Amino acid sequence: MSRYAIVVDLDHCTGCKGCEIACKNENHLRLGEHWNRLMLCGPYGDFPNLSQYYLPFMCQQCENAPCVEVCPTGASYRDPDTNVVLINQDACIGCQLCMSACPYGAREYDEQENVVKKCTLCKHLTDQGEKPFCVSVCSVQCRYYGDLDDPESDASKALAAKPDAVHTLFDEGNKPATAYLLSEKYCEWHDTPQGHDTNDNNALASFANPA
Amino acid sequence: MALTEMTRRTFSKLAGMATAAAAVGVAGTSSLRPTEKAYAEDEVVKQKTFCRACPRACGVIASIQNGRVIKLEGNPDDIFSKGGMCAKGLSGIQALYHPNRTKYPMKRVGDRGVDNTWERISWDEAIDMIAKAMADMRDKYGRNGLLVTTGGGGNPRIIDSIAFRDYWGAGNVFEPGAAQCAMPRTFVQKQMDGWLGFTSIGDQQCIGCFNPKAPVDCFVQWGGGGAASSSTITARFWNELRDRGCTFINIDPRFTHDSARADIWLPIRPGTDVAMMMAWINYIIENEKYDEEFLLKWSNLPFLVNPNDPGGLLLRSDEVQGLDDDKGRGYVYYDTVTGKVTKAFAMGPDNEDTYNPQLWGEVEVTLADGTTVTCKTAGQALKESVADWTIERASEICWCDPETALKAVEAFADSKYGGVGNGVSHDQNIQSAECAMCTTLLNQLKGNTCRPGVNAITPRFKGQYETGRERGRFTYSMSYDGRGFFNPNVDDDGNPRGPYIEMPAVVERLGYIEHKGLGDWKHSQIPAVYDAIMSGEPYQPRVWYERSGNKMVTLADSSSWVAAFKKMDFISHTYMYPTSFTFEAADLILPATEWLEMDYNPGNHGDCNGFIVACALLFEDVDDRLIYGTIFKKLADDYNDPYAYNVYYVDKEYYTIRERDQYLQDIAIKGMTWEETKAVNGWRNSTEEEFWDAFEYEQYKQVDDDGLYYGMGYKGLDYTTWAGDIEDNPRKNQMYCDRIVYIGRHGEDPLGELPPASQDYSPVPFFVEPADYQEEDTRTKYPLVCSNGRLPYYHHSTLRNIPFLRETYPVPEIWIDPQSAAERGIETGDWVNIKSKRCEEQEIIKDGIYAKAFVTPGIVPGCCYMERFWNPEFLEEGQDARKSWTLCNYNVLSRREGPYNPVMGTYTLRSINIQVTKADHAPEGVWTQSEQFEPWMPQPTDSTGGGYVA
Repeated sequence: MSRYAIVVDLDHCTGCKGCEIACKNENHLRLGEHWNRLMLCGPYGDFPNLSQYYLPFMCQQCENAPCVEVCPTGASYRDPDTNVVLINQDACIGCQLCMSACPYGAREYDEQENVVKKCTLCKHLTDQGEKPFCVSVCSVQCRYYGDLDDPESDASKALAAKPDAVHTLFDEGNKPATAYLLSEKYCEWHDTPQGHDTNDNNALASFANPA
Repeated sequence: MALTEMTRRTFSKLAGMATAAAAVGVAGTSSLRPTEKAYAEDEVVKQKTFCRACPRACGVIASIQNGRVIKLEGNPDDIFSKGGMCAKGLSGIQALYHPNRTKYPMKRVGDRGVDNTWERISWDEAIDMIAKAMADMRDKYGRNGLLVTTGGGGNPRIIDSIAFRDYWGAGNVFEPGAAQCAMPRTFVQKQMDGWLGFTSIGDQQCIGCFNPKAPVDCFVQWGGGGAASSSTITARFWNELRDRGCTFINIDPRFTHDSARADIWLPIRPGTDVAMMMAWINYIIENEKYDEEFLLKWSNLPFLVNPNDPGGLLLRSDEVQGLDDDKGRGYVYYDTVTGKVTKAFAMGPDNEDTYNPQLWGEVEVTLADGTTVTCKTAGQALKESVADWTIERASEICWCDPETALKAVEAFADSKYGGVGNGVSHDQNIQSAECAMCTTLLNQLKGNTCRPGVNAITPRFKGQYETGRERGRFTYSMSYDGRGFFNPNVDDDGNPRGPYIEMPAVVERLGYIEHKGLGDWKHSQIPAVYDAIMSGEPYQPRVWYERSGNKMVTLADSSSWVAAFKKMDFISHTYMYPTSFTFEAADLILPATEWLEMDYNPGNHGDCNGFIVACALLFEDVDDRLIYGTIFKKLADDYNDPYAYNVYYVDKEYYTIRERDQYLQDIAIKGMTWEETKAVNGWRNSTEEEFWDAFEYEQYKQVDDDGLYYGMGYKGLDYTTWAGDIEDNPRKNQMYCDRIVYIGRHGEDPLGELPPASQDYSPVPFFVEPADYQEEDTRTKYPLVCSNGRLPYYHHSTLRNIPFLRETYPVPEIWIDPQSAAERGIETGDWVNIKSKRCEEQEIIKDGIYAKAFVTPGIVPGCCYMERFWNPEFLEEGQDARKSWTLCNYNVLSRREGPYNPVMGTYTLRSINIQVTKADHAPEGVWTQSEQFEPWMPQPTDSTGGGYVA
């Protein structure tokens, strides 16, 4: 079976927000819509002994995806070929149960269309053999996409290169498949980070205080 | 495509808001002029081009469908950016189709700084307004009243502004950057080491540390926010450099990504860098960690200093008994083998064994007049200039931990290929030249010139294609003309050309005689220009041609300029959209091209070559390069101007806006049309492997045709490194900068000898406190020391009107340490009020400015960092346009008043003293919520062919 996901190397991520803008451009998101967000975690410690990392986050492609489980219409589903969690917009009734179920605030309700939307790992591009846009355009090439069950994929190779640095967001049994690489020499990993961003983004608050 | 779908959706939603568009510009999706469609319906064409959201110019592939740009992605062939694009570049489409673009020339109706009402006029009428203003000034007062300004943030071709003034024959040029950005670093470094490998982090320089094949073992990032300036290039290369095990030292008041990944973060108080640098120099000399062979053979440190010279000029051979009959004046040294004071000479493989100079100490010398004097070696003089600077003393001044400072200098001192890179922060203080001098000294002490490390020189491959050359003889001054390269006064065959800028006009350049480093870019000193505008002395600047973004956000103490605008007879502003400067100052607006509408060569990029090419051409936009030619033609045709006549008709230096096709054909690849050139644009001349392998080192050891080593400052890729009176060039670097003392007294202008500055420039570094900090009253009343910086989402004053960028960073942050915040009752997210001494002096900003607090341990306690900002939302109809630059703009707090840097005339943009208090209210009218930026969402329109067609 295939398990497609993104691996982000936080040793390298500089917090430029290029991925945030790239995602909005590519997926034609409106103002206020974000399928990919970025926040500063830290600085931790006391001056001048500090550490920090930037954390970009989007749908974590959970193995036990609660959003799929709670969906009353089957609109939230798993792609049988890639295992990617997707939303069938035609079947979505906008009930937003999935949004309550998602631990990471990765889904957004589109008021105008009465549907819920989220990161598709740029299905329209990956179907054509391309990478998700946030991966191909990343300023520092710190995002890796691929099948985690294929040891030759970019994502698997990135994980194999830093086996001691692999982390996931906090896990409530949902088993997020998206992985983050953060070396201990740079910063301690925080399951529930103390986040900071420059805009008033409600999702950050929900993410920082999981249920 | 979905972009156009989205836009239709957005636009229909916005239909009722059409009248809410800015008072300047016309909202709407219709083109101004139908053009013949040159594309197949619905076909998506991919055009390679380069970004110009900042000077790094990353390779880009633009997708164009039905004449509209629908997608931007990175060009993976660019080995610097490797297909990456940052938030700034990815905003290209929102910038191109911004509803508030300036769409055609407009003239002001009403008063500057009061009315924001504009009337559309033709290009011909607009050009005539400028030409007439220049001609009227010429007839009544003379030519020197012209002021031309530009800026690196908003204008890709800043050299054109200098050329315009030079062809006109007199007047002044400035940029808010220049003496405050890049020029001090590059000017001082090249006077000293002579080589083209610059250490400037933010300007696609400092490339030696990028090369994955180079054994760089220690890199010092001193005051340049590399990852924020250049997310696609510097950030990635530095990540890789650290991964390769290079010891990385970050010196910055604020804790950034690079600080967090560095082996050592040394946070220091803004503006005190030179104190720490002098301590490092002292440490390296005291502990003999320098490259002795390099200093002996390739530096001027063994040369003897003239003890009778008040400024510390080096001794000349004709002043020494026994050497005064030698042909050709040169420098002298004491030879340890012969025991004689000897004239320095250029070394070659055949004579280098006879060069055995003494590096340190003192020597008795009998002068030509028979007197005997004790001369220090230049090395000794340098050593004594830093002797009092211990790490402990510097740490006290810099507010940093001496143990960390010691650890940092030890790591650098013990490295083999260690290098120091510097950044814009050094140029924004009154010690700009000394910061650059110290950086150069640190690199040179380690022998780091043309070595693996920061100063390596980029290889140049024979181009796959030869590109054409546009008209014009555009040069900077001191670096090139002084050596006879690109002499502007002769053509390619050596024949004299017609009238051009001449000597009296050069001496009249405001502030130039006092600050001769400005001659590097032929600039004037900003405070001297301000004083001349306000006082009319020594003459009155009258006609101002400004071509960049928002001067209210980039000039120091910018509110003081409102009074200056009133003294000008005529001001025009060329930019892509109206800014605060337009409202406050302009009589005329001209529409410039966005980077997706331009055609020009941004220089090679690694080894990816080609042009920024127009992917669309909207409204009546034109490339500003062609505006200058159009003005000259008008001056020649209708105003009987001999300079303009010569420039346009005789020397044929310019194109008009009706001659774009000729311009494109001239710059195109030789043997190709412009269309054919576009088809192969973004080509490679080498593989990535070949590019990095081709780096050469120690070029100064190459033997030239005359059997001597190239040495320092000789020829080829380098600059002059000897004083103007030296006839026998020993080809050494100028670690003891005799040359800069000589420049202060005589200049080095291609047009002749200049009068001396009122004080000598120092050949060795010295430390002074930042200007605000020198004043006890100021630092008591405004106790926090504030710097600013760089974010990855904006470049200088640009892009504050881009909806996706503003929603993610809607208002400026000010970082404040937890204790200073607690003392003031400030928490993260609070609006705070910020004041400096300028708020007492300027009525307009008496209430201070506003920012949102980020309480963080990531800043030196007692210091702040605030981002530069302005609020284009106040230029919307019905708003108070002045608030666009008075509410959240750091630079109204910065300092135009002296003291200034002696060499460069630099004033104080950073390291100002401020007071911060919790604000009792949010500043009214500032957009902070995503949906507020809806009026700025792109409104794609068809290409019109621009203003080139009549």
